[in-house]
Amino acid sequence: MTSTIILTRRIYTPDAIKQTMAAFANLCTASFTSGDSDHILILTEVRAQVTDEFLNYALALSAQELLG
Amino acid sequence: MGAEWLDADSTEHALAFTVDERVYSVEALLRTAYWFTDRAYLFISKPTEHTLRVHLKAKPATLESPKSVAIGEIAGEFSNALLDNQLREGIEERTGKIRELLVMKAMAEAGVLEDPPPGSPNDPVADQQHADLTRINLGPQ
Repeated sequence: MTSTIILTRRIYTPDAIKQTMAAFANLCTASFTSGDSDHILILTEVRAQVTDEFLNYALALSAQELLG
Repeated sequence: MGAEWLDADSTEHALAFTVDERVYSVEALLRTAYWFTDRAYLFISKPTEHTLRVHLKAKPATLESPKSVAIGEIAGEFSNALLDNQLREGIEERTGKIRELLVMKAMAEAGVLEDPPPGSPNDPVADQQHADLTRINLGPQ
């Protein structure tokens, strides 16, 4: 199963996405590219619940980074 | 695709709602979202220039939290918490400086700031030789 998800740069930071990818490396294959306003995240070989957990983790890390 | 709930406005276990950035700050939204990541799956998208869309999905019941909560209930609490955080931000903006001044005044009155700094302000070599021409006396030591 493959998921393509657009993450807004306003909320999700590149560092948070990279750290999440590293944390989930054993559970899925992920890649992302950054544009001017969005990141495009592609998750492959991933179960639905892993996608949910991945997004939650990335959001929590982004919040920590942006809020200091 | 595995994340269909991100495209849905409302399902049995997920729903999405729009937040106006002109009313709520990104910081207030992030702070609120952070506190809800243990209760629900969250995703935030940006459909238009001034809006952010919050997607919420209830987490399945686990041994740790066997009682599943209705997504509507979580969304209601999320909205209240968002309003609360925004209000706190506004109050901090308006009264933060006054609070700092009050704390500083209280500390000054309590004499906390009058403690001398540690060590000697004099030249340490001259101190040892008792040969300095000027000495700063901090009072009884």
